[in-house]
Amino acid sequence: MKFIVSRTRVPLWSKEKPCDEAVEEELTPLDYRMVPSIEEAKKKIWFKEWWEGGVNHREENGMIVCEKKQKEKNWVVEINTLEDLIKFQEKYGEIMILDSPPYKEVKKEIRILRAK
Amino acid sequence: MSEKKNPVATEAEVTTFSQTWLSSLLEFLSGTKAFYFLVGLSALVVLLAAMFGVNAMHIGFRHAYGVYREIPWGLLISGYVFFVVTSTGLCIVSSIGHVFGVKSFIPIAKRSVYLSVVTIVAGFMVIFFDVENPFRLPIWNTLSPNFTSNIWWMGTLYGAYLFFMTLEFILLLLEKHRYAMLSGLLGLISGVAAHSNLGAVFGMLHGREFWYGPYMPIYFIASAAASGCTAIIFFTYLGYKITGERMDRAMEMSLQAVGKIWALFLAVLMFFTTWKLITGLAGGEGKVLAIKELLAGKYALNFWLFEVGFGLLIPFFLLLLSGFRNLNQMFAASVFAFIGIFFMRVDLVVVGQIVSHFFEYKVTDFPVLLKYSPSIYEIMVVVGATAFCIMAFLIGEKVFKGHKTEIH
Amino acid sequence: MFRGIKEWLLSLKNEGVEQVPDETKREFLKIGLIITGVFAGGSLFSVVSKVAEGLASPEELHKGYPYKPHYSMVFKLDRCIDCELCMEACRKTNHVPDYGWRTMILRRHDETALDQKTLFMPILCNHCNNPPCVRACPTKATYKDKKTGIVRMAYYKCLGCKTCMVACPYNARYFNEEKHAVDKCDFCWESRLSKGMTITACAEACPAGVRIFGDLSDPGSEVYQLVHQLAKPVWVLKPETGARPNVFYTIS
Repeated sequence: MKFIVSRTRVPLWSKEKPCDEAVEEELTPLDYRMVPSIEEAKKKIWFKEWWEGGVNHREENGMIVCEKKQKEKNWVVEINTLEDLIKFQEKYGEIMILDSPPYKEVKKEIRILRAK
Repeated sequence: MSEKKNPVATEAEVTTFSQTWLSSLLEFLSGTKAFYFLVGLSALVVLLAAMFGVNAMHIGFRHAYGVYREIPWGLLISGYVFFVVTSTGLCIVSSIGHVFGVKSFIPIAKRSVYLSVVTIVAGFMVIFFDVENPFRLPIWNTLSPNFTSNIWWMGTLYGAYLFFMTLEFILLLLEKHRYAMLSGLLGLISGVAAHSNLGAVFGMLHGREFWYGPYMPIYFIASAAASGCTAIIFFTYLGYKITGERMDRAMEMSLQAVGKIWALFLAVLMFFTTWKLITGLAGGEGKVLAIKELLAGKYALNFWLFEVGFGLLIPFFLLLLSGFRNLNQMFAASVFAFIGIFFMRVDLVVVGQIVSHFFEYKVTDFPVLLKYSPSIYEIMVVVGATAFCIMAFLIGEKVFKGHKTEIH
Repeated sequence: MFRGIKEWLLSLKNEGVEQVPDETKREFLKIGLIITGVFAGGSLFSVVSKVAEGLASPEELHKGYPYKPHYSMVFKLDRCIDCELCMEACRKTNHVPDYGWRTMILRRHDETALDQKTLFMPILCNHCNNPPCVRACPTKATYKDKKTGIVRMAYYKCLGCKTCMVACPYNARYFNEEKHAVDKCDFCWESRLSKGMTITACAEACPAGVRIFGDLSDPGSEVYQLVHQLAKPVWVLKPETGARPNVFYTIS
């Protein structure tokens, strides 16, 4: 399973990776809008942008969603077993597991509490 | 959890979120027609206000405004203070993320920086119509600076602040995050310095008991932090209503953190206000008169209902009620707080001047307590600046597509 | 020993005020009021400390006054009859518009006063040694004249931010639309003193000799003699602000 990996303090002055295992990957952001149907979205101010900025438009859970064409780069780690996760935690100290910002490829985010 | 389900909120949560009365009330904001109607309307109000302002300049402020010799500062100075407090507050609170790099504050950064530029510009618009010779300002501020004057420091530092914050916003748009951070740091320093100087403009007038002392600069900074949280919650919430986007977990956590800071600073302000009153009542006669007027006189409604009720208590209890989770309640708190904060500024500026200069000599030429009521011109200038903020906010949401920040 | 004192204390008899004639009582009360300053209209100190407060620091007082000439005005308050000739003269001399004033006569009224119920109190800019307005002005449009100590205006620099008006404890400033600047009393510097005259228009116009204008640093001047004496109270308005005004009040 892939996780986005981040730290609680963003090292704005360096472009170092948040952890050794991290690899930079292009992810596809999902663009959710709080409208029940695409038909209704046509009346909205953002519709054109949303429609043209993404592909695979669909209705989902009372919302509409599409995959943005503009990819976003993010640091990602792949951890597949609980043992690996524990190992990761032991290496980097306390971690939080959060819901990541909505991406097609990744659903969860690991945040390392310790500053680099 | 199945793959199909959205990863953040359950279906039930989403429905409750979108079906609360507040949300449905605000839903129209994202409709194309309603949006452009609002932009047009606010532009119209700005234009109208500018006409009022220019007309006031033409006929002379003495005729147009409600201020006079004994009360030279009125609604416009209050409005100016209101906007620059909001601006500095937006900068202070959001700097936790975009200057100091705390990840959980980063989602609110871009919108906050943009709005801090917008609100400081609104403040300058108000002061433009308050100062009698605004065109002399850039000339003599540079050629003949008075370093003992807080007004000079305030004006100059706010100039620097506007520059750095604008630069920071541009750098954020260009994704040059390191330079943006540096610019943001300089903006934060000049903003805090400028703002404490604004407090000192009042606090260092040794002829004015009501304001005099080190309280004002400290109060102004605490007040700015509270106003900043108010503005962040208010505008972020509305921003999401306009773009119709689903708030992701990171943004929600950001707002929750802002809410907690807000509650803290509301408590600080309550503490400050309480002690301001208690020490004031034990002070000199002039100060006692002013405080009594605030507590039980003509300004009692302003004070108790708007300043204490709307500005402090209602938002505080709404925040506690929301458990820092229910964004609708937090938004409602910010609406109350915004109204309250404006009255706070009016009370601060006007009540400091209402006690007549020579009241202790039993002078019959002036009443002990002077009266001030703003004219339509003054009201329109402040309304215009507010409309400018609304317009700039709406356009900002459209042009900058919901102010997404991408810092990893 | 203590017993002796106690017995003496107990043996003391109340003399009472019943036998004192009314006239004496009233006089006594009046003296008391003068001493406490209630009568004179504000807090009152010994003249020496008053002068020390009104001017710069006491050391400076011994060395001399900070300005030469150190222009000052002393009001003999009880002489003012509110004829307003001073105000009239000021308007004409300094082109003061009808909506503003540089000097004014305040009417003090107290029904509980034992003698006269009304007293007139002329006011103008106090040309303070520690002027709140000068400190507050962002552009040095108002400044303390280095030679004379007069608080003057450079009208062309004035932004009209009105901070000086808020800062002034004496309500001595107003915005002059014709000049596009804040205007105030300058002891007639521009209209008279700089042209060789030695007295302000208001002092010249006063028929009752209320306004005494002169150089406080000159021991021969009348203002010096009025301030440097102990017999009559001399006071300034609002000493608590720490502005150290150069306008004094006394009675004749």
